[in-house]
Parts: sequence; structure tokens; C-alpha cells
Amino acid sequence: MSLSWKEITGRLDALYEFDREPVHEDKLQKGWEFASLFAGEHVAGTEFVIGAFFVLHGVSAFDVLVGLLVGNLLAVLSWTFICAPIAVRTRLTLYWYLRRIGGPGLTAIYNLANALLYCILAGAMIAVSATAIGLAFNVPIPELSSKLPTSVGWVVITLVTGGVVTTVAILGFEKLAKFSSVCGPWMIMIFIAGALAVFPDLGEYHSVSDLWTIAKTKIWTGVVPAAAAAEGLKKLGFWHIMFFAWFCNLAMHVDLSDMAVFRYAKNKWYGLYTLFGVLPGHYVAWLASGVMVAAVGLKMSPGQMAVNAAGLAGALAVVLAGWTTANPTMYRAGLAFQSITPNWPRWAVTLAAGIATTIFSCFPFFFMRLLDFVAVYGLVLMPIGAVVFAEHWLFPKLGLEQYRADRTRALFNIPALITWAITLLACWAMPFNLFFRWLPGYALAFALYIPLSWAWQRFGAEFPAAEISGGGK
Amino acid sequence: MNWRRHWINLASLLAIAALIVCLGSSVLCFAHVIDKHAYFAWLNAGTIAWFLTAPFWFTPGLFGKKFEQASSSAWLRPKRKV
Repeated sequence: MSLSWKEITGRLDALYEFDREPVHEDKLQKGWEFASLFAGEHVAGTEFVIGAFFVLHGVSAFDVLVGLLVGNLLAVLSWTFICAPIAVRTRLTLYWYLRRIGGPGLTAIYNLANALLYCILAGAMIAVSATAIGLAFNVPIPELSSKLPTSVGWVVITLVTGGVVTTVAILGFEKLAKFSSVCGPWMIMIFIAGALAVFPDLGEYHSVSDLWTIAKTKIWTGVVPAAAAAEGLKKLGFWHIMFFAWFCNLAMHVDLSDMAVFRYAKNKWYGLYTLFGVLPGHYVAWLASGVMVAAVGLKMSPGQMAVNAAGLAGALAVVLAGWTTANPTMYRAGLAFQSITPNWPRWAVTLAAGIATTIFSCFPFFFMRLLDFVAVYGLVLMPIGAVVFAEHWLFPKLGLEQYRADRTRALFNIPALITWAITLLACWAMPFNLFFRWLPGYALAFALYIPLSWAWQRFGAEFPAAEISGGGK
Repeated sequence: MNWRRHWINLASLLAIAALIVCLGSSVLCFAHVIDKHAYFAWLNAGTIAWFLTAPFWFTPGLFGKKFEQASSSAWLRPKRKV
């Protein structure tokens, strides 16, 4: 069965129909609602892996403490000055705003790319949970350099874990989503408790300077451990850490996904409430998981780290952290997949997303290369963030027409499509670390999109803009 | 509805106490006051207490409409405009 673009985009529109209208004044939310939302959203199973990887990549104590602080502040400022202002002015989700700017075809491609990336991310979260469940059955955890499944036991554990997560998501997504909000405060407490409790295992201390010495010599030593170096892990420094903390939520701030949240904000300063999420989730939890991995002899096994630091509660935390965050991620992926699955019921779409996610979770490549995947995730969607920003803020100032794709009912905003493709190719070819590529890529996307749009508007008739009937607003 | 509101109030206080037990036991372990086994025991107890009580505080709607209605006048629940 084949679907035309018109049918695909029509289905997408139907899914997001509820969000088509801008949010009304009386629906705006209070600040504490944003604070609690972000506080619950940024403590995931993957935090167990990310902080531990910093240690294995030989980050120094100063670099991790200050680099994370600066990077997280830059992320908060990106939410406040890039994402929130556009959301507050338009009161629309990114879907509908991109629909006006990029056309329905581009929006559909964006959604599908997003769905695939969501499935990989959810797969990594399930793999994190599997490391804790595997402990109970003596299943060996894959090595750092593993790309393919390393044992039958690992495959069975990830398939079963993924199967259970998918089944629960099908049976009661909404109830589980509500229940997952219960886990947030307890989970961050487990991170803090675990890190404090394993400190005595790392050395003697009687003063703050002793603690600092342990941090510098036993945890964040500034040297890649021999075993990790043998597996090909490279040293990361201050700039890597700062950039990582900044871009790890690139999809949400610079790429504007969180317009869906901030359209309910009273003003752009509500972006500062993201501090309630990134501070516990991307600072405290990452530092804590670094301490935990040092206490288990630098073995990258979230399950083992958590059990050593917090016993059964730790194992439960790893399972729940992976489960409760994989669940909404799978739901979002399913929502995007629904556009190309004609008349499929909700359970069937969730099942399809769950199968894809579970298959990804079997491959340690995504879990053991999580830092790189997070970088790629933000990078792939970044040019679209630049396109929307340019169209919203720069076009009026430059005298260019906004929302031309919408007015002309073009299926694709051709300049946006070209910008997306060339920017990604350029980022792929950039001769420096993956972590740093998004920023020049972002600048390049502006440099491409503005002149291309000028040309599209000046010589528009010469472009093969595909027309659709009955589409647009 | 009254007893439900009182239960949500009590559950919220017990949930906070459970988190304090979790954190407190780790601080005591960090300070060499208790050993790791005792810390694990307290952490597990705090965890069980949290999951028995916090759902009533955070998601009263999971326990039915009457709990949801009662939660609107509980101490540590958001007060919504009607």
C-alpha cells in the first residue's frame, strides 16, 4: 500500500489538529508548573551512562565541574532567548509553525527523522535498564567497543525488557506517564545518596581538601583509564564537556521542540525554569554517576554501579529510570509513525515503535556510543531550528516575505530543504570533534537559508515548487 | 471526601519523610556513622515508603475521581482555578 504526500501530511495534520490554534491567554500556566515539569523530565536512565562516560574519557575534576556548569547555563539561556521568545509570540507548537514555514512535506520528513531518533534514544534507555536486570541473571554486559549484540543472554534480556516496556505502554500509557512523575524526586535522591555512600570506598577523607584530592585522583583524574583507552575512548576536556552540556538538549532548545511547552508561558523569561531540570539532571546526576563508576573500578555497567551504590533501591532506580523515560519517548515516536500507518489503531502504532526500539536496544553500539549519538541527534535537527529562527526574526528585518511556503501552498520549502541537506553534509565533513560541529553548522544554516530564500522569492517561478491541493491553512 | 483529603495530606508528609530517610542514611554513611549494610536497609525502607505514599500526593487521580476532587483542597497540591 502506498501513500501520497498529501495523504501523509493530511494524517499528520489530523494527529496534531488539537494544537492547531494558538494557546489562549486563559490557558497560560504558572511558573511552578514549568519548574515541576522540567524537574521531572531531565532525570533519565541515560544520566547513569553520561556522567560515567566523562570519567572513562579522562575528564579532569575542574573541567567537569566548571564545564558542566557553563554548558548547562548556556542551555538554559538557549531555552530563554531562542526557544521561549518564538513560542510566546506564536503560541504554536513547532509542528504547526514549521508547517507554515517549511510546508507539509518538509514537516513530514522532519517528523519521521525525529521518530527514528526517538526510537534509538528509547532503545538506549531500555539497554540501561537491561544492565540492571541482567545482573540478576549473570548476563555479561557488552564491552565499551561492542557494536553488535555480544551474547544470547544480552539479546534475551533486552528483548524481554523492551517487550515488557512496549506491552505496558500499549496497556496504559497515560497511567504510566502519570506514575513516572512520582519517580522524579526519588530518582534524583538515589543519585545523590549513591554518590555520597560510595565515597568512603574511594579513600580516606577528613576535610574538604581531602574530598577534592579524591575527586582529582580517583574519579576525574584527567587521564583516560588504560582499559578505556584500549577500547578507543579519547580524552575529553573543558570545551568538550561545556559543549556537550549545551547541546545534549539541542533538539529541545535551539531546534525548538520545546515550543510545545513554552507556548503556555506568560513570557520568555519562563525559559529560566529549565534550570530546575538541568541542574539536578545534567549536573548533580552526571557528577553522581561519575562517582559511582569510579567506585566499581571504572566498569561501564549502570546496573552494577547503582547496585554497588544503592543496593536494591539502586537496581530499581536504573530499571525505572530507563522504563519511565523510554515510555514517553516511544509514545512520541509512535505519534510520528502514525502518519504513515493508514488506519492503524493506537496500540498497533505503539507496538511498531516498540519493536523498532527493542531491536535498537539489542545493539550496544547505541548505548556504548551514547555521547556521540546525543551529538548526532541534536545535529540532524539543528538546521530546521536555524530555518525557523531566521524566518521568524530575520526575514522581517531583511524585508523578506515570511511563510511563503504556506501562502503558495508549496509542499516543500525548497530553500529549507537544500539548507538542511547541505548543512548536514558540511557538518559530516567538518574536520573536528563531533561535539563542536553544531555551532558552525548552525551559522552555516543561516548563511545558506537567507540567500536561498531571497533567490526563491526573487526567482520563485523558476523553482519547481510542488503544489498540493487542499493543503495549507 | 474529608478522609481522602486527610490521607493525601498525610501521604505527602510521609513521602517527604521517606526522601529525608533516603538522603539522611547516605549522609550518615558518608560520615562513617553507619555502615553500608545499614545504609542499604534504610534506603530500601525509604524507597518502599516513598512508593506507598507519593502516588497519593503526586497523582491522586490514579485512585479515582473522589481522590482527585479531594486533592484540590489538600495542603501540598496545586490550587487550580475552577
